[in-house]
Amino acid sequence: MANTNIDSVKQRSYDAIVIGSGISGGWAAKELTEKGLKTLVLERGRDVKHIVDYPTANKMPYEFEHRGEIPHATREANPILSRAGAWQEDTDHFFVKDNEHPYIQKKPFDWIRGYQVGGRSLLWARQTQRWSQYDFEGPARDGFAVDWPIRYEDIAPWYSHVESFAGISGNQDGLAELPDGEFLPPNPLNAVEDHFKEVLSERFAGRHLIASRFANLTKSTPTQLAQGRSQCLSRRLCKRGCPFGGYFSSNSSTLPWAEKTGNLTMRPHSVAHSVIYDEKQEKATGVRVIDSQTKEVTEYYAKIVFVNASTINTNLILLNSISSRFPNGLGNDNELMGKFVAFHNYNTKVRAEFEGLSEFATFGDRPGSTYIPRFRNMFRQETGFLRGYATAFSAKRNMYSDRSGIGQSLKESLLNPKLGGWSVGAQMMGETIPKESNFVSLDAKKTDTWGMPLLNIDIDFDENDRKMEIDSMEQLSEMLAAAGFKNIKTTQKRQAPGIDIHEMGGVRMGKDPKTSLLNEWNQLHTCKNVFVTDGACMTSTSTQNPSLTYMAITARAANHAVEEMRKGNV
Amino acid sequence: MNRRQAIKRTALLSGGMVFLKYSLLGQASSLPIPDGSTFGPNEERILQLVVDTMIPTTDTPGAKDLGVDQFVLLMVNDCHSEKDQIAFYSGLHSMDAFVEKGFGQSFASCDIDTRIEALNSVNKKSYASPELQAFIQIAKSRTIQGYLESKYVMTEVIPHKMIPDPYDGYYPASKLGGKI
Repeated sequence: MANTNIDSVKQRSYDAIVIGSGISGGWAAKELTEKGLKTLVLERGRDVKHIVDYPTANKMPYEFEHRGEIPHATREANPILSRAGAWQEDTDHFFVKDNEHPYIQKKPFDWIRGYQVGGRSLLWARQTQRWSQYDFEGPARDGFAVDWPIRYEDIAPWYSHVESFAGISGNQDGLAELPDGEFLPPNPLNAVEDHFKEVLSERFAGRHLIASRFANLTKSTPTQLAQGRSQCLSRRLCKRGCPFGGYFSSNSSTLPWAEKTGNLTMRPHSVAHSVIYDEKQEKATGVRVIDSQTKEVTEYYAKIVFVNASTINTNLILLNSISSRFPNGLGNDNELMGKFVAFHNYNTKVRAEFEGLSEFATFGDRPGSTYIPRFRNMFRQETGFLRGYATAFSAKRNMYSDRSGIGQSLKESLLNPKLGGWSVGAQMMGETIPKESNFVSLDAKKTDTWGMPLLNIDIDFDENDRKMEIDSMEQLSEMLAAAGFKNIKTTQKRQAPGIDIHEMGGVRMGKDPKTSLLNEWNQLHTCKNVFVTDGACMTSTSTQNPSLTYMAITARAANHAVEEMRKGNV
Repeated sequence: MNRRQAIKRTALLSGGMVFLKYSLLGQASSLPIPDGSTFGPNEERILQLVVDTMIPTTDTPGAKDLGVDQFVLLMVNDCHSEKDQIAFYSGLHSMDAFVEKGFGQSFASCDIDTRIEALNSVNKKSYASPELQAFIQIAKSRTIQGYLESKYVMTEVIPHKMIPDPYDGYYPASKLGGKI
């Protein structure tokens, strides 16, 4: 009997456990298995194997019963999810429905989730701009949140590391505010984008339009071919999963790579309940797991634990990791866990038309568009609000057909579309300030299907965000007008936070254990063999799409973890 | 038969085969229509005639040949609000009375030009009910969608490219019929 128990414990023991298989969990798995660690990856959703589990990848539009539309009754039953633009008939199977994992909205918050192997890395927007020194120095300079314990120099080599492997396209733009990296050829700009770029560089000091850096393979190099991935064909159907591996996802890249080492064990249908803390050894010894289908509870053991469950679920798991040493959640002596959650502000959009350059049109397609890095308060504080916004920008010339007639004239018009004029769209991507009053917490009474406490989510915009929204509309309108654009129209939405799908923080990094949860290597200050490297670790949000930074932070922390294990420090 | 007629006849014949191949585009959903709505053989016939009038059969299949009337019903039943559905079915049901009043005959007995005139008059006549206008508006947008996104159009008329051409941001507008 005793032997059976020992064998059973042995079978459930690994060198490392990674909770979550999304964009950061996939990187943790890759780095740890490559360094020889037997690694268990826990994923609460089902398995999604690259290519074979992309059922809609090659379907023509007419093969979808409702031509892509989600039926009305389904939308009504999913008011939160229905606000996610990427949720359509072709991607339905990759999104969590509202009733599958409820949460309590103290204030409106659209929590968009993808519970499956690969998580939301299947669905992401693939924009991959680096942070600069000005982003890491932001909280200290402007006096909010806490100082980041790392600087650009600490993470720069890890940006290079993940860019080379994932395959990122871009130009060497030479901008201090958006450092260059290891890039595949950039996405081409079109005539009107080039025109706007020129006007900005001539007439707006410090404002630049560049080809966005994108995680689509504009060229296949031996590094990606070795992963079984080939060049992006610009199908723009990424969110269905790409049969060519043309964009980076855990499924196409890091997870199969980890599997090839022979060191990976993937366990889908595994809801992480809590990290197990051993009072005598004063460290974590493993993870308690609920099988999502049988609800059976099993403990898995490891020397180190990486928590990469996605920002809000990482907060949930750690807050739920209760012991007599940590009655408020693992590593939560200062009771700041769950607090200082922030996000990105996408509330304003500016559209315009352009009458010039009519000799040109666009033809074919490309996976990327263009990007204007933050220009407000970049090198010094100069406006009535803190921080600033980046802008996604694109120009296009569509074909259209007159639909006013009925009969043969309508049919002819539909079958002979005409070339329309140039139109452009600019979307703000604003930094928000992490605040103690924006937080998630465990509900004292209500639990979910698996017996986990429900999360209270209490997060909102503030006055700084509203000022920034107005500034973005004014500045973009002014820039477009200066470049000769006409019919400039601004829109200011009042969407709830969360729909940006860039939620960050709650388990922030910092120098001081009194005011932060994680140290400069993403270890919990008071439980050093637990690492948090997903969005939960973010001290501030900056303006750049965050995934690339999660990847770099994860790779850096995983390599440090391996070194520390070898030294016997964790 | 001259050469021109012969070509036209061949086109019609092969067109006829195309019609068979692509009909039964979609089956209307089994979702029940809203309470109090009427949808019988007469309404089915009127809807068919409406889509056929909007995008008629020429030397290529029209909307009815492609089963677009069934697609319109499927979308109304599955993808529209109950308010839209009630207006759609009520408007459809009132078509004959509307046409009778303005044109002195049922929609089905009208010739093609009168049918077009009747549909165009829905937005002009003061006695056209909001439901009838909603019916025409929904039927038209879903007919256009069902036609353009039919397998026939997407494979044989304007072939849909799953893999687009390489991007050219300085493509000559003249090649797309644009003004220089």
